[in-house]
Amino acid sequence: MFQKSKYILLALWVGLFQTQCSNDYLFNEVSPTQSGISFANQLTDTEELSILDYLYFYNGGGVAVGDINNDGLEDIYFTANKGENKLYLNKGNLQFEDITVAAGVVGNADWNTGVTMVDVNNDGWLDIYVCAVVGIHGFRGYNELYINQQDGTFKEQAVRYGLALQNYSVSAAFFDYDRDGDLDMYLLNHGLHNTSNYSNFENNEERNEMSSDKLLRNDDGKFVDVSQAAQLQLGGFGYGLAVSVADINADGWDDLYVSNDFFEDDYLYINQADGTFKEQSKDYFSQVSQFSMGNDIADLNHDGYPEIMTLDMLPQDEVVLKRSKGNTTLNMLNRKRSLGYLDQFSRNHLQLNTGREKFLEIAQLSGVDATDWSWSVLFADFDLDGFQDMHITNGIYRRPNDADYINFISSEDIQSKLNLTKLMDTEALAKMPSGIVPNKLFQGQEDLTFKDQSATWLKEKPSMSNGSAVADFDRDGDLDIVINNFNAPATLLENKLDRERETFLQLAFKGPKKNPFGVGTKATVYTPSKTYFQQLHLTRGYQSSLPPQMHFGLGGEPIDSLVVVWPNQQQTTLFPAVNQQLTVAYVAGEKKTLKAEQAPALAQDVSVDLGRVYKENYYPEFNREKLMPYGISTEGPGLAIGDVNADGWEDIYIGGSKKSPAILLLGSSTGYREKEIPVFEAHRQFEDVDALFTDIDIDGDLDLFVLSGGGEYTHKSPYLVDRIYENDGQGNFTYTPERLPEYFHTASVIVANDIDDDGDDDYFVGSRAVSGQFGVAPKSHLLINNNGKLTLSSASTFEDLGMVTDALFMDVDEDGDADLWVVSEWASPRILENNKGVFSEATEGYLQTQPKGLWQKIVPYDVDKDGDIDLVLGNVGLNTKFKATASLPLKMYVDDFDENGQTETILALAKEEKYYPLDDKDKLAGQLQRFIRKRYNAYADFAGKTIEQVVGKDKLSKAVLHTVDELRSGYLEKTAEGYRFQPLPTAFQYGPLRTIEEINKDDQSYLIMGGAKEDLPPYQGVWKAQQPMYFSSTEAYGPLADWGINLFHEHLAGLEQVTLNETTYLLTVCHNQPLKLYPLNDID
Amino acid sequence: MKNLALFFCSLFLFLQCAEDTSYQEKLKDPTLFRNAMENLSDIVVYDIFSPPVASRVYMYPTIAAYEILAVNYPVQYRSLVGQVNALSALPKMPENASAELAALYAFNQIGKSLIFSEDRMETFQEELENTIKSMGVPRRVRSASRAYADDVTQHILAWASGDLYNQTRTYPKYTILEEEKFWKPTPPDYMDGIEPHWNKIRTLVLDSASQFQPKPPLAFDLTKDSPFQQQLQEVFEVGDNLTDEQIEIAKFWDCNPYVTHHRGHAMFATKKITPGGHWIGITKIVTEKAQTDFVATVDAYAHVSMALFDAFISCWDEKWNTLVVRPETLINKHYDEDWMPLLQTPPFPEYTSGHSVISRASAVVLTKLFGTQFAFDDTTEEAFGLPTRSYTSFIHASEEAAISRLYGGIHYMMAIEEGVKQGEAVGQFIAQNIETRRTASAVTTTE
Repeated sequence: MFQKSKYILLALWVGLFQTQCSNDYLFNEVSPTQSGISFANQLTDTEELSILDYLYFYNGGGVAVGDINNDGLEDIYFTANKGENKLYLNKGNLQFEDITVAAGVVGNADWNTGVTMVDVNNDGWLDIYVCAVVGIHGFRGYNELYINQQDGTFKEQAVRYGLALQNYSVSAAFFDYDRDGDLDMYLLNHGLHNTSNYSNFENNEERNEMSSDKLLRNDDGKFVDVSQAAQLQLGGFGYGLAVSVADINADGWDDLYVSNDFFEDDYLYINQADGTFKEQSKDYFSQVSQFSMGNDIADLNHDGYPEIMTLDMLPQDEVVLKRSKGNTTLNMLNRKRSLGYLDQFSRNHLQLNTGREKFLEIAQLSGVDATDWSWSVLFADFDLDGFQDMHITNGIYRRPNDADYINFISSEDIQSKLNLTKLMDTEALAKMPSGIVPNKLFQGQEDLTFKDQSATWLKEKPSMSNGSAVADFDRDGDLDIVINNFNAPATLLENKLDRERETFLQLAFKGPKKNPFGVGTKATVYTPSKTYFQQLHLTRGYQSSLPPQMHFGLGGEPIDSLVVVWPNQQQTTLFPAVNQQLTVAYVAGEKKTLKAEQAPALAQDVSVDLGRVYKENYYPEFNREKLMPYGISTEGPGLAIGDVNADGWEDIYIGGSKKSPAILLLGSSTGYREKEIPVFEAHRQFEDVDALFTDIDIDGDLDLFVLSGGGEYTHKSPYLVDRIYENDGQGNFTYTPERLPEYFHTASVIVANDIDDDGDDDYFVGSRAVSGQFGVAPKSHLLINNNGKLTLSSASTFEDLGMVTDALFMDVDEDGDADLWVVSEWASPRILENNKGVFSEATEGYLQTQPKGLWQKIVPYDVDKDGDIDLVLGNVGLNTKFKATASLPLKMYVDDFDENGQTETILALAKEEKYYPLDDKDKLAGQLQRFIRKRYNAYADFAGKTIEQVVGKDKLSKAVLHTVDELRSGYLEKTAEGYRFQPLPTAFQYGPLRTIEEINKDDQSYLIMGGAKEDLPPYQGVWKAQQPMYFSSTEAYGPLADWGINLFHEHLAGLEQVTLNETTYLLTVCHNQPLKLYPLNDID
Repeated sequence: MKNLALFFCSLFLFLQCAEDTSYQEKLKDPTLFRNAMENLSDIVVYDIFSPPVASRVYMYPTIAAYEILAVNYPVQYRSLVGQVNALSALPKMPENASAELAALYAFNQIGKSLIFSEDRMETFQEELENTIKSMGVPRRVRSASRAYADDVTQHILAWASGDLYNQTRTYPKYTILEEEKFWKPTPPDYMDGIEPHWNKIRTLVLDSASQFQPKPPLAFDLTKDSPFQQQLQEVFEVGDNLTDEQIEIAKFWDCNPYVTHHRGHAMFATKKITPGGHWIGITKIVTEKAQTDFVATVDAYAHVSMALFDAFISCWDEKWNTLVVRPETLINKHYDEDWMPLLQTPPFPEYTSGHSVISRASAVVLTKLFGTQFAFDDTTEEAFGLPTRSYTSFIHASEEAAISRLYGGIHYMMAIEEGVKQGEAVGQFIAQNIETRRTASAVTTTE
């Protein structure tokens, strides 16, 4: 306490004289002279060895932290790739002593990589396992195991334990996979296979002794290779860069996540509880990082299920971003898909665990997708606010993906000194630009977003940083950071949190005999407001290990209780005080947990498969319009519900996509049966985007009005006319083109209302886009019904509604007739007021706020339960490359920029208040070749240029500008002053809400919301992270999976409530999936 | 002593007198033009132009230079107006201008507008200007020639703007067809297909892109010993049993403007002249050996660049109509997953072989100008670290270029054989329909 006040005094003193007070930072960098840690991982390129010879030459070394002498202070071991590893003994007060030589742990291998501190011989003293790459480039040695002699010295005894492996090892994780009580080991190796030729994923089964990962079972202190028996048959091509252990599906058996570089999918090995693993990445994820590097696993949202973060190399800095090659092409993506690979995108992935064996990838929403060339990520609650923060190391000695280097610089050098045995020399290599950048620190928020505190929590300093660890080195209750740097001394960051209010708990374990540190133990801390879950695993981040401890920041709250679940599922409950370091001891024979042996029961799938698949055809619009920001050709199906044959049963129309005919399903007491409608087959070339059963000819039966769209057809294509099918009263439909006037459009929506009060339905048909000319506004139409024949309204009001996506009739002005709500993309919602059949723009008078969004849907609903009708608006959400705020909207310029008769769209995104093109130089040049390359041939010249510079101010001012200032889905709240936009909770912002339907379940009204989008340029990836949600109010909502409707990673495109035999069902239509009916009332 | 002074004095006067016009002869040095062409070729390599587009970058500047000269040497040469599509007569050259100088200026100016790295062209233009000045070309001649070259540049670029090149830049990319027989992008980068709409480009001499349509490719059939399968098998087997000579031939004629190399995360590219660029290089060697004068040198380049231009359109028409899959795709899938051709497969469909078509067409027009027995040492690839190869005739060289694609593992024999026929037809058509010389005599040479 005395020390602290002295410190505060000093801070004040310094503050008086310095405007920039370094004490504002949460972390203080302890200099090597202060700490005594002078270790640096030094490497230089030589003719014999550089990144050209060894692809992982710049990958750096690891850090292991643990108390090797059991004095209560965490000690540090660093690996040097080629130099001497170092062991530093913590002397207290953040001072360390190099005891490497005395301890006998210098290491003998020629190329060291990951390191783990773990008690292998179960004596209660941490041993050190150091991985090595052996057998290439003359690297000799083996993975070394330093057994702690309990006197400050170690003996290398890897051979004795069967761990003296000679592989291309990167990292090792110790865990008890077979629950026999002792720790087994997963050894992560990296591949060397030629990366230029994608192999067929299915054929990728051959094991490689040197590069395939291994599982070693601990048989009484002797480790035995059981990789085959455990069915790790995949992996010959795995470029493993990190492995983490966690019980992903909470079934009591530890699973593995393996980050693989390059084209190989990451592996998710789910423990089958029988000595085998099953690789299930494709079941659990919609996508993974492409160049996966470090990873970490922790429960971020207090639901007891751990999230997974994987790193990649997407730069945040505009200049670096535009200079780097990285974006995959549609060709490449499709090829990988055809070979059986999971979608992979080059950016960090944050995989949110739903607890239902499915993850939702939300790194972009969370704000942690781009941290440049990143190596280690560690979750830790640095500010003890109860939310996990994140520290990321990054930087690379040279950037091999610099586009100028690849296209212009390297080739010049190669040509001047072409040498067939070695194409490049160190001189040419030296021209590869440096990738030295500051590390990243993110502060976790309550809603799963992260705030970038890299420059506010510590003094930013460019570095090339690899392995890292967090630990409380100074025993003050908060977590410090240690980092292994490339060609620079290691970094020690002291956490100086002023812990006045915040609370914490540190936990260590005295485990069973064969696992003295309790590796694999789970602990749940309950506080009045939250549940905190952690599991103890040592190998984390990248090539590194953390002490066998847990650290909970508790946000100032006390602890209600603590439940510890030991690896054998035995349970201990305690009621500890906060702010202490507690060691929980295992006592044999305590009770086992309730859900010990099995995964939590997933809701049973009670859906009825209608036996038909909604097939959406693939049409790569981006080959035609290379710069369009998203596609418009997968908008179907058109769904309609109604009793077409007057038998009292609801029937279903499911529109066709191109090449697939529409389907009419007739309801009956025995279910649904298909009714053949010959003209549907004849009309299979149409793409149906909306449909409505409506009595057009006023003969008492429901006719069918189908809208045509899809981005494939252009101009006056015969497939761009809407269609009316007349019902004969028996459900037989005939095509009656004469009922419609001539107009062509790529449609989106049809709504009906008797707007002129003459007793029949009139129709508003919205237009989605002008096919082939994205960004150009189409004309929508109002169709007036005269005795079953429709004519185009001459009112011009409907000609400039923009890219309409949805509409609805509603009596907004309460004058007895229906006004029209219209939503479109790149515009705010609009109200057209109806005065005796004449519509006029009235938005201004009704909307207090007019957010411009990429609106997808509008649905009336009393969101706030105040008795009036609000309007729920579907948008694209926050988990995208797009960024938009009121002050810095997303911009889209439309013009024929290169004056060749074809309009283009160029999107611009704000970064630090300046606007830059969203697309990279190659993409822009794909459409505007001369325009771009004449101005900017070198990538370095293009990089960092604003949109004004790239396009030119004059051209930009002449272009049509569209903006979006709201990406969130929300609702227009009806207030006395007018409608006001309110966003929906974050759980609704993971993806686009393109389908919103009101349903009734157990006499309660709900909205069901969902959506996905896949026809996106490859840099966007796919928008598949939004799980369908039910919604009653902003206080009452949840995933549809709670109702047993498990639709994850699907392209959910249509929802309808249908009733059959007094049971209500939810009909779900997902692209290229079977149509299903989910009973709504019987379950729960 | 006095006499001696008088002698020097008269000598001085004589020399001064001689210097006044000597620049005219110096400007007729064909090396000036060859250097300009070489510079253009270097920039084409630097900017990574694909083979068809490169043929366009060579053609327009060369035609401009030729037209200026033809109009000013009306006794020996004919204008191309009326012989090539849509070209109209150039504006008249002013009195003061030099045809050779204007030809050089126009060549560089038009070249500059077609390439991307304008700074590289500007550097060359400055160097050229210094050379011209050091020759003693009077300012008025230089400025008159420059002004005229600017007019010609406008004229030729207006002509070029009608060839649909700019419009085709925004035409759709090729959408991959699933059927196995159709072309798929190839390793290592699976690049998008190059110029799927090149057959829309206005031809120069041919009536249409499809005027010399080859016979259809063999029916796709992977059944053992089917005609198609035999050809596939041949690529596979030849590739695995290459002799040193065959390897040398394949590499010599690789002419791939952009070959990527991957080493883990490290990636770099080697860039070479295009197949057309190789024949532009041969034209340099030939005109040097034949010691052609300035105009005849430009004439030779004009012939070759016209042949290349139409040959690429003809070939690309066939490629993107037949969409034949590359052998690498099939061999990897059916025979050997790790098989790699000696050369990197270029990113466009297989049938017919571009190098076969354009090499033959070039050889035919060169034969017309220089005869059937013109032996030469081809040093074109020296700059790219490859050895010199010797040929007894242009046809000899073109046949080696054609067969090199089999050795390189990137073409079936049918694409080579039919490509040669296609090139022969295109070359003959150009040779017959283009008359540049008034006299039927062989090439005019400098002394």
